[in-house]
Amino acid sequence: MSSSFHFSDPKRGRALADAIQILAPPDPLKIVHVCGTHEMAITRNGLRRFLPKQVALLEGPGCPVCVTPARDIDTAIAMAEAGATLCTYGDMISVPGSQLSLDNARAQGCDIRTVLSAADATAIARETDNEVVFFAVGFETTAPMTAVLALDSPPPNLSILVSHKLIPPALVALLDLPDNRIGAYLAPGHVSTIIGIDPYETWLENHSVPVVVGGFEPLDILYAIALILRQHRDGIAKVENGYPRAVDPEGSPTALGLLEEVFETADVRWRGIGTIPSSGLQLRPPFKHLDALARFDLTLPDEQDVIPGCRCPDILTARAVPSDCPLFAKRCTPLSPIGPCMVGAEGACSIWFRYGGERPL
Amino acid sequence: MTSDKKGARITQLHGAGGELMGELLDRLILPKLGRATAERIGLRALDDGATIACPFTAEGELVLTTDSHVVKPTFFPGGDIGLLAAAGTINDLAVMGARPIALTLAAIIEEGFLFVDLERIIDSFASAIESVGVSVICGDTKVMPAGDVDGILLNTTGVGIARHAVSDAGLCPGDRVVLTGTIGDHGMALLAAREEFNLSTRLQSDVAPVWPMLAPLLESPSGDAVHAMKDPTRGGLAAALNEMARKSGTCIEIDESSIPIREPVLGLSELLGISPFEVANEGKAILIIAPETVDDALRTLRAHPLGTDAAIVGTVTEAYPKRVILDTEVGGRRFLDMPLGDPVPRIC
Amino acid sequence: MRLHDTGYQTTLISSKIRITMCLAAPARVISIADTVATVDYGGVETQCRLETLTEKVSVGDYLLVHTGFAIRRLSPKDGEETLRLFDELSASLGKAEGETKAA
Repeated sequence: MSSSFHFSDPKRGRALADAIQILAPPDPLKIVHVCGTHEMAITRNGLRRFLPKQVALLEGPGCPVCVTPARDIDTAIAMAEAGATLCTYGDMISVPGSQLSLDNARAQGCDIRTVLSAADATAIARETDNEVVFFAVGFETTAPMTAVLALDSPPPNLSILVSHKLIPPALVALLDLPDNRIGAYLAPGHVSTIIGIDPYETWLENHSVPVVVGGFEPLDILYAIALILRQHRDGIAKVENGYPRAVDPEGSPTALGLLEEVFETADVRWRGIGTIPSSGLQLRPPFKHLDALARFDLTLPDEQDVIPGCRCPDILTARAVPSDCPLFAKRCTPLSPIGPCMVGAEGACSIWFRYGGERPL
Repeated sequence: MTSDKKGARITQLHGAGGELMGELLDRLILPKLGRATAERIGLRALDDGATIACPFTAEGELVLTTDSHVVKPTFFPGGDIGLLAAAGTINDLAVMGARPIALTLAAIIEEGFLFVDLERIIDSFASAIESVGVSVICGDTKVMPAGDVDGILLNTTGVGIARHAVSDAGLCPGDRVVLTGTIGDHGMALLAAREEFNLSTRLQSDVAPVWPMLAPLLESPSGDAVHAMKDPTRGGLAAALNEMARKSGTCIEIDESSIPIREPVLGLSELLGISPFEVANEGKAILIIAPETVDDALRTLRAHPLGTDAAIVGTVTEAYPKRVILDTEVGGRRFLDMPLGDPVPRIC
Repeated sequence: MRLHDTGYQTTLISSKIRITMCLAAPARVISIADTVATVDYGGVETQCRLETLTEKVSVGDYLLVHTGFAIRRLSPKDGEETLRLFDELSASLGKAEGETKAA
């Protein structure tokens, strides 16, 4: 990457760390972020070392793989078992639904392919007569690409299993949970590139928490944390843009236009959390012919979303950290995962396990 | 001869010990690998075994190593399975502190393998060992029916001799950690070459025999100051450092900003989301060196073309026994743990 | 609900690639053909699509690319501006701290 955008020099790190210490709150403060990439950056760069002891920084439901309901995965598998070529982002391949993962199904003979881009699914569909289903998972950063797929002369044998989710409703849902004790949000940078700042203000108008949009370079994150602490110190609760180079208040009109044209909101289920109103996307009527659910006649058994003893639901709602789960790093490891937070590469448990996130050094 | 025909392929008869196998040896193997050596019974004798004149001196240890190579793709940016096999074995001996003195080479070839490809592979192998002054003294060829093996498999055994072999566990607190060059080149180059990623880069594998770079240091009086060595192949730097920490019971603290790393490797790691610390290196070594001599050692390494980027990257301590710590560029700190598995299938 | 171990290595590689849904590292635009740009990540070139991008893009610009599509155009001066913001914040707090101590 160009050094113009590599923000990690230790001198500025020290300066921002000092700023954070100066702004240290007198009482405990829980900051929640909702982006696996943020958790990766925080843990890989060892950033928790810079936080005052009373400031906790937790990952909420920021891993799209972790929050995709078991039923969606079961549905994708059922379509593949019915003979479809199922295209999925690589991240989804090893997360189990109620029983199997897509990778298990592939080992059993299903035609399941990982793609790096929605465009790849279109290309695959053009090269075969077989039914091709694109498993569209991800948040607002990823949904516009699915919209392009829907608008770009999709071949008749291509359909979409839509499983996109929206971040702002989830932020509200978390705040409405008892015992959440969320003091501030670090909002996801690239979701915000798409949606801008306004949705946070709209969704959170009845809640009084600081929200700062943060980038992903180490210094971006320290900067955003400092802005949060400054708001907290000053008793302010507003939405602040800590990533202006990549985020405009109005977001990306082109990307938003694509979303608006192809999708409408729906009440959808988040694994480990439950149904959150208006938190997902579904295809608008002009695009319903692309809906994979309409093309395949499937009956699925009741899903089992959560495993007894597994604390993913608490971890996903930022009420626990991975090391609070009795299974973490003992029975549940990336090599033998039990819950989705350990399987998803962006899941808190997976990241903590791999990068030693259990204690700041 | 059958192999002269364009598009000629290996058949099962070539492995059967008869005429065709004789042709294969005479026309391909012996001309490339059978250079005259001091050995009384060497490759050209095509005997059941080969001899090595007893190299024992009053002090010294014989070092053996063996490796099987199944890299895919067989021909990759910067090398091929032949170079990889030769370098891999020479490097295993080198990081034990042993001067390579002889190699064996066994090939298991799939029926249908192209002669010209086999020729390229043998040429690569031959050039690599020639550059180090070591010979193949015996070998074996097997041909398997199509489908029973994927392309070609090579096995090499290396014999070397060391005044005093260097383990990977002799770390002492206070020792400095030296890397002989940039990290992540081989693993990332092979990843980038995968068709499905549609990437184009000039990044090449770093595969190379490291003995010529290490010999001046190891065979000098300062050689004793090298307390431990390892080559960071499968599992990359992270795996090698963790093994060294575990075996020695020490802590290894690494300074992220000192690790030499090429820009395309960084670019690929951002693009693909794979850490450059977890992918294989095939032309590098980790040396653990006593602090008093490390600056001289560094100068010696840098004098060789393969060592121009050699750098001190860390220190052995007792902070967290058996663990590896990374001091991150921005000033943070975290564990650098054993990777879960080789992120790239079959690269060595 | 244990995972079966079949095809572990392939699983690992595909689960590691594109592991982050927010992942978007900046790449420099080398050429543009209609709705496709060829971009360079420090010596690694690949293509990305432009349909999801609001800003106009020219050769030499930088793009944040996510799952093969551009989501934002950046220029080096954006980078400089970012550094200025960091420094401004640190300075304002350092100054305020200094004043508090002096008082």
